[in-house]
Amino acid sequence: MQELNSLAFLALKKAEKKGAEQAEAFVLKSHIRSVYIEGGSPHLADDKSETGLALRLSLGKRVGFASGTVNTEKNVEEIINEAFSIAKTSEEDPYFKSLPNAEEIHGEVKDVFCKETEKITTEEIVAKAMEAVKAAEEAKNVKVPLGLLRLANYSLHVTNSLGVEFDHKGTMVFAHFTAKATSGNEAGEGVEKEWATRIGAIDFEKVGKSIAKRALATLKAETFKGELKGISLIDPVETSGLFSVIEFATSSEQVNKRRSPWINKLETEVASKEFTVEDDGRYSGGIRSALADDEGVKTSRKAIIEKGVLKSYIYDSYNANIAEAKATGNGFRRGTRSIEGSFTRPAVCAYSNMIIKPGKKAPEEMISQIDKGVLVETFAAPEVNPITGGFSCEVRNATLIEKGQLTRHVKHALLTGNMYEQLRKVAYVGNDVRIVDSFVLPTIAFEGTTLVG
Amino acid sequence: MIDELQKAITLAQKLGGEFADARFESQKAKQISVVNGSIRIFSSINRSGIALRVKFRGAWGLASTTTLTSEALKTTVKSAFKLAKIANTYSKEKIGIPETMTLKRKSTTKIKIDPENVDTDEKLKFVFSIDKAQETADKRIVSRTSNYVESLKNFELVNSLGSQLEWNEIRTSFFATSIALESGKRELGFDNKGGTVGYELVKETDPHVFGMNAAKEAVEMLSATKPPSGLMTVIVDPDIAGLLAHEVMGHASEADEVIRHRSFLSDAVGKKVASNPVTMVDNGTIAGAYGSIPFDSEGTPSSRTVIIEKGVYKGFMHSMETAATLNSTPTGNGRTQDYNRRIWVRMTNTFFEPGNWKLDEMISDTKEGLLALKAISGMEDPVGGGFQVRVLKGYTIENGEKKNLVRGFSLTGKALDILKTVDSVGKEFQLSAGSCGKGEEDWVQVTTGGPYMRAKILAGGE
Repeated sequence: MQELNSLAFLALKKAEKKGAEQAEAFVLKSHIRSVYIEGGSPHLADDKSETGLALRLSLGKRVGFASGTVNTEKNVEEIINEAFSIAKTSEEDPYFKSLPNAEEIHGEVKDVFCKETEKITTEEIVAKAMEAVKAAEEAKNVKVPLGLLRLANYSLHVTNSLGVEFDHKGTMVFAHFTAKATSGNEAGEGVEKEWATRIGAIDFEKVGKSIAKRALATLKAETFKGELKGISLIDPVETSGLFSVIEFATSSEQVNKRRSPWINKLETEVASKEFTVEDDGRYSGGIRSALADDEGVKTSRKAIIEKGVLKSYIYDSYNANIAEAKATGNGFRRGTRSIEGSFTRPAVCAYSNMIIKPGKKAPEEMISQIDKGVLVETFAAPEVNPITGGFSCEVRNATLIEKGQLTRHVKHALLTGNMYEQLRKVAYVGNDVRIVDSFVLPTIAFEGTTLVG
Repeated sequence: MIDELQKAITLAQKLGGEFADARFESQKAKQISVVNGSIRIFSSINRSGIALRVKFRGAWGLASTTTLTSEALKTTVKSAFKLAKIANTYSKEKIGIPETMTLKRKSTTKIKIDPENVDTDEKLKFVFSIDKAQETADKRIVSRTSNYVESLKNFELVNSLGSQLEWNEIRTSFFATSIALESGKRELGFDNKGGTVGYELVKETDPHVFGMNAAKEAVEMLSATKPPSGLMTVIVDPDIAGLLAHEVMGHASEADEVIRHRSFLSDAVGKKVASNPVTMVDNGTIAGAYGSIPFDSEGTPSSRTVIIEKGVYKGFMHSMETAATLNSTPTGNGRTQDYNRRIWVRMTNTFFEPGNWKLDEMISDTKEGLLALKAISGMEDPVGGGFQVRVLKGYTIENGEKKNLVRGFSLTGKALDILKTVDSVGKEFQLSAGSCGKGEEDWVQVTTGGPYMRAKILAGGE
């Protein structure tokens, strides 16, 4: 960490000496190791190291941002010169007021750095990945054509002219495994993704069994024909994709850009009463959890939607200044699947961890209470138009629910709806919370979606 | 750097690596983003690293570093070799590498105006002009984003077969996004352009027209109605046809998916997979196209690969490894995002070849259907051959006439079912710049495109 502190300090002081009115240096050092499974065995193992610096500086209201990999003091000077060149030639940004002020950062955040994950050998990483393969291939006619297990350990340091000094050290694990089940000419695929801050948090045998089960279910799936209006029960991994609209609508960047449909909607109802959302930058084991964000602004836990009522937006420092609000510790550069290259991105307004408050029902209990609907385990891509909320996603792993029972597996159909409207039609919120990317959420059931085949 | 890379390869061989390559990459990029009349981001990136790959029996080791010293390079080589040995522990089969021709070449992207030689003022003026055009287009435009990106990548590659290559890739691109608001309803319009070209792309573009197109589209979308749902006759535009080519037929024709038994096209060579008017290619050699590359990340020259010819499936795209495994020839499709990422078989510019129909003829020949316009995104399904693409808008077609504007929807179905129903292929041909991920990451620059095409497809939206 000392090395990063020195690098950031060097960059900051040189930028200030050169005439920057305000400057911010962000240094990120990452070490990533992965194993890729192909055809049921390890095909490639990798080990990647990178150190990068991002410099933001202001000359009045002209702001320059430059980043690059750093080896030598010369690299640091090049980045400073580039940031100056940009700031000098850029237009004034009337909305830029200041970089974040220094503040006291107290408290603790648990389970963000794991020594075992940092120290684990490549042999052990390979063995972990093979646990998933072995568990999946125990099922008849199931193979694992593709798998990825990636571990990252990183340290970052951010400092600015207003006295911000923040260090953070973290570990990240991302697993993505795919199984294929075959019968004659027919094939079905099952997919699982897992995010964690420590290798021990992932049960690889369970991952293997799940992808095999899903692949076999898809193999049996029939093409869905017709139209089904009912309740859709959606896996947390897929729901996280659909909930990108919540991030969009509550981001102060989108509010300030006048793109968010939830402008002027504070203290009004935007979702069902069962639905509560928080942003918690200190959630134990959260992928982006840290005492401060990537601008060095302290993180906290705050209500975004409380029992269906919109309570607040999230703010990075730039957008907080525009809105004359307080930055909420939501300026992030760090990626959530992997960390390398994150220093090249300016901090943007993003959730630390979006926490959906769990309900009381297990998914099985929710299913038992649904008369007509569909359980969706995998979409082709859970994408929503954030401007309108409209979505129509192809289902890849899905099962019909009839009179409280899971019945036929179906495929080649679209689940359609409008996510902003679906948030007002939440039927059930599950108790099965999972960490998915920068989300912490359970299985959720929505009324009024349509399955079209 | 070539000499240092050569030393690294010599060391990799000495350690016992059966094949090794070392690639140095440096990337310089600049981005200008203007939002609602003010500059939001003006940034630059300058990053460099070395990726060292070693094959040992049935596995690869890949190590990369941004510490560009001889000592760090030695450590990286040793790490890559060790990783290959560890990964090989469980391997059942040996990886092959074809005995390709040794290449010693240098190549530069042919551009007219180097973006680095253009004054910042001029670039800013261009982006602000796009923004202004959107602002003045209509009072209902409430949000405007205008972006410009220039990128220069330099590569040096040495491999243990004796190849030594140096090349660059220059790309220029820009886009505009407008949001219109009326009675609480928000709609989106956009326009984008990009290529392996220099600043001439900007010079050839009227920023007023470019910005106005995005704004007008957003306003027009305010009056769009709910799209029809169900299986119907759909005329897709070049953009959407390109995604059908890319997402389903393209990804399933990447030979690594075939070898992993993840492609529904594994046994399709020589078989009829589409109607007669359908011909599809991947061609990384098209001058100026955004996905064009002189060499792939393994140093194989890019090429034109015919995937479907007059409805008959012809074959796959290859890296060196997949070509050896399937006893074929590398096609220049072994690509990687950057030095921090691995090589997969990836597409370049993938599209359907044009046919003989004019769009007007296609519409007037359609009794009832949907004209689908502007792709937003698509997702691959190499295993199941399923197709999903989200589109921005469409028009209903009734009795041979274009009628009502409809909101965004998705198109889905089994690609082979769709392609067998293609009964007309248009004359107009267009390529669109984009980026492609494999397994939702590892992004590379590509283009997709083709002509207008008519087929039976399942549509659905709200």
